Amino acid sequence: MAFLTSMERITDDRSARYRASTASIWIAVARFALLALCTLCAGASVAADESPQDIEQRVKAAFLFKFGGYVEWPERVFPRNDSPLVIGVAGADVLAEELSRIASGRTMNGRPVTVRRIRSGEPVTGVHVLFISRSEAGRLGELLPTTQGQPVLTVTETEKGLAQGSVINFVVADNRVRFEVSLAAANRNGLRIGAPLLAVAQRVQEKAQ
Amino acid sequence: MTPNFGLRSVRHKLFAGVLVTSLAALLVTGVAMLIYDLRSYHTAQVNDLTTQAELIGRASAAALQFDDRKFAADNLNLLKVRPKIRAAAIYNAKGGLFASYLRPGAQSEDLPALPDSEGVRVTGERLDLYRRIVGNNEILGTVYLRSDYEFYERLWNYLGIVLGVSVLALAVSMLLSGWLQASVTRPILEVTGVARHVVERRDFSLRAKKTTEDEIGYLVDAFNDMLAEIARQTEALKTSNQALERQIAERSEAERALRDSERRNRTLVDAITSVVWTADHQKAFTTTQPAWGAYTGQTEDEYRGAGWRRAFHAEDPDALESHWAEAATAKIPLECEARLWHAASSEYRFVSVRAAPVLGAKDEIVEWIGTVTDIDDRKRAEEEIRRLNAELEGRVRERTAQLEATNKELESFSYSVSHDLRAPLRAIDGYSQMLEEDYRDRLDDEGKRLLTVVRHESGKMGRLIDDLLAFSRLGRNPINAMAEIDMTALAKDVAQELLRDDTPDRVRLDVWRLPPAQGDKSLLRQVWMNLLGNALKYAGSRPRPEIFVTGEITNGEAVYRVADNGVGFDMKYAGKLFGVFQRLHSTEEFAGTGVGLAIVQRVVTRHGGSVRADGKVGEGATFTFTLPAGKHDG
Repeated sequence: MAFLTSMERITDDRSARYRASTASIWIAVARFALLALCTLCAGASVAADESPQDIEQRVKAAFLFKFGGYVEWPERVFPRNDSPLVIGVAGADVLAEELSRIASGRTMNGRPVTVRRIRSGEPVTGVHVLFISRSEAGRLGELLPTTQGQPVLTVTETEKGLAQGSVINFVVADNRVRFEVSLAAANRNGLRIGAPLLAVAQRVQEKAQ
Repeated sequence: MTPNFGLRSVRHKLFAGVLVTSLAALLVTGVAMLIYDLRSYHTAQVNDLTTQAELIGRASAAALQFDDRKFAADNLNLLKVRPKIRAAAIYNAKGGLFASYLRPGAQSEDLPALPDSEGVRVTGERLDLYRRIVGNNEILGTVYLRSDYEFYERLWNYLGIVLGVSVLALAVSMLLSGWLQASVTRPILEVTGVARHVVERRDFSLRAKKTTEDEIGYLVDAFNDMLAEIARQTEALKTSNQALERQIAERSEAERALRDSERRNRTLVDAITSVVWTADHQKAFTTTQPAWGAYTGQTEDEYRGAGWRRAFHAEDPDALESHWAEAATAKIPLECEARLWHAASSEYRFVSVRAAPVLGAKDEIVEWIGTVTDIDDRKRAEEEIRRLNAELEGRVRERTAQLEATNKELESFSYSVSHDLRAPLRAIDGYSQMLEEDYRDRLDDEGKRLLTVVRHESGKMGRLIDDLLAFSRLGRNPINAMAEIDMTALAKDVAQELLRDDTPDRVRLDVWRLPPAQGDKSLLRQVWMNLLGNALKYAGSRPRPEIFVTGEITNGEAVYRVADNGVGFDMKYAGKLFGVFQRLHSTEEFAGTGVGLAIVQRVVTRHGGSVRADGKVGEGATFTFTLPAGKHDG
């Protein structure tokens, strides 16, 4: 059930593109509700094929995209106003695919969002968000240190993600995708995490452990 | 006294004005403030809710984005501090209910299944507000707030306050208006009162008191000035009126005197129906005599000089001339009668000619002023009366002589008849007496009885003749002895004589004290004889005859009454009672000649009195007669 809600969230994000004037909004909503019903049916059939892991990946992809709205990077990392926000994904093919799909044609705080796959061995440079999937947990010791002190929002999905120096770590509680935040890691990386994000975080770790 | 203008009074107008003004101001202000307050309430309410929704939206954006329903619910729960908010909800972008909130203690509120379009809706006492949550230029969801909207409560409260304030303000304004009206109307009322007094009493010396220095004060001054002016004018008018009245009085007095004199003269002239003329000392008409001309028809030429003589009857002027000459010699007024020609009736009429000499300074006759008065009608009337009188006297004398002769003849006839009848009657009586005495033995009983009848009848006839003789003697002989008569003694004497033969004590005959009378004693004795005898005769058949004789003095006359309880009579025959030979009963019933009451009447009448009879059949009779009263009470 929790994933179904996440599914709604995803389609919800998509529907948000129908940005329109207030007057025409509910026409759009109505149209979208129809569309959503169809996609839900379609999605249900898709979901039937997909594993719960896939659904989790999709939710995490949406979260990854949205984190960008609540985090402030130092100005220097964006040469221009319309410099793209780059999200690097290490492993997690389903998530990367989904993220690309979400990000395509959308902006975050006026910046286009691009997704870059990080292959093993590739240097992690020029990314603003770095997601390291569980499958790449072995590379944590390699990847995290390189980004320490760099203006990169590191996101992990392992139990000891924060302890290992990541800024945000996905957890699953009550069949829901939640996340925990390390303010220390963020400070270290020169990032400022918005209070609303902290408010909805499952746990906020203030100091380095 | 203040005139009562009722509701039109200035006081009421002022009062009403203040009240109406205050009320209007209060109403306008109250309504304006009410509208303003309700508007600002609405605006504040909407703004407040919008802000609240915006805050909740912003705070819940992350929760929506990261699917944190608990956080959203916590956010909504913060609304507990806003008890006016009944319910709240957050919907996600798809319109699904994401989180909701109900005011503690509230019943279940049915939250809308889908969010409405953004905006505010008022439903009765409820305010619904929808607010989009926008993040990163995308609609994230909708905040829904449902709040108490205390519009009506506020309205009623406000109206209550307005009403209360109005009442308070009205009370204050009434007090104020009382004070104001007192300060404004008292001087006005005072002026009004003075004006009324002036109108009622016409006393222009009254003045209104000036109490204020405003327009009313000025009005009072002007009013007082006006009064003073009116008083002055009135005084002037009165003075001039009095002068005028005096003049008019004088003038009308003069006019009245003139009119009186004129009327007197006119009356005088009118009263003088006679012709007025003037002649000079030689008895010649020298001036125009219009009255003379009009009466006699003579022209001025005809009567000029001694021409007036020709208007008199040919036989008269000489006598007139001689009379006039005597008067002229003695210088005394002239008065004589003559016949003067009257043109209108074309005949000579008797006139009375009068003239008076007007004497000059030397006692000489200057002229004569005279009148000619028509006395013809009077003269003729006098003549006629004289003639009629003479004629009448002649006829009376003639008739009296005839009557006297007839009467004398009649009386002497009746006397001689009576006298002559006596001789044969005496012969009848004498011879029947002799027959009775000398031939008693030879007559049988029937003969004796017949003889007794003859004697009885002849005696009765003798009495009748005696009565007739007495009656006729009454007419012939004058009453000579008018002496003072004690009527009580006379009546008692007669009664005694009449009762001598009757059974003692059978008859009650009471003679009371009677007044004395003037008259002939023997005649009056006859009166008593007849009246008492009459009474005894008609009451005699009663078992207990009663006769009362009473008398008194009334209006200087002695009145006597003889009342009995006899058979009485019918009043319609009262007039016949006193006639000669007039009888109401047959001789068989009651004896009598029918002359008695005639004698009574004749005696009483000849004494200057009167007699009358009253009675009723079966109830007795009362005879009343009057006589000249005696000198003193006997």
